Amino acid sequence: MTAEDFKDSFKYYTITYLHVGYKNSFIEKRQAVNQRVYKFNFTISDEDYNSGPATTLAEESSDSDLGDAQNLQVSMQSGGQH
Amino acid sequence: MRVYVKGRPEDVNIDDQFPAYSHSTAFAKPTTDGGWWLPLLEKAFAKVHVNYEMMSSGTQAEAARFLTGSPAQEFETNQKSVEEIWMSITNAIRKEYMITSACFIERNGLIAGHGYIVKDFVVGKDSTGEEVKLIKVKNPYKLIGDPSLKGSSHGIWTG
Repeated sequence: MTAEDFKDSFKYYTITYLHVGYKNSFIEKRQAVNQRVYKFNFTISDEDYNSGPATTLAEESSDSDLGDAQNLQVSMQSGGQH
Repeated sequence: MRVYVKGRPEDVNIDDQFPAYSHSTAFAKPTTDGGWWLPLLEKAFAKVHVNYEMMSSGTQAEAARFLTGSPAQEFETNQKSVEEIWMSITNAIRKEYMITSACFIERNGLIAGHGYIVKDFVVGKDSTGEEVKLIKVKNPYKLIGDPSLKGSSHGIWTG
């Protein structure tokens, strides 16, 4: 179908940001235990759904301590899944 | 069954007993070729969410998180322009993200209230030479061969 038909036909579309080895932050894990209804606590960077420069998750991990981060910045290498 | 609960991988134990109604499972049905993976998956989802009633409605993002553990984001098409939707979907496909869509009105041969899988995109030209942006959407009903489905585009890949 055309992109115009897609917009007219579907009310929602969902993108699942598949990452191998996606890790939740410490805060997320703690809330997961205490909360019956869990909400994801993450931030999707522009690079995830827009083209542009990006770093790998491994590079992000080496630069900062993801375990203490309340919001996990998920980055993706442009051009393919890893 | 390995699923993702609250963002973490969890092994959920289920048995093979299902609520029944009218000589069949009450909710998800086994496939016509005898596959019981969907009622089993549904039972695991119901167990995680306390009971079947708690999962009477929901979003595709919830299901995607449950199955993959990856973050999922839902977009409303009427909040975006055609170009924004096109850019969003094409970038996601290039990065091999999973894309699903939800239809609530019967239009262009789609069934209201059901989800579809966005597979691919292509830019072509029509008979007048004008550029046409096409999105390939998979019709899941072809797989279960429901003969009650009608419509010109059912049972085919639309492109």
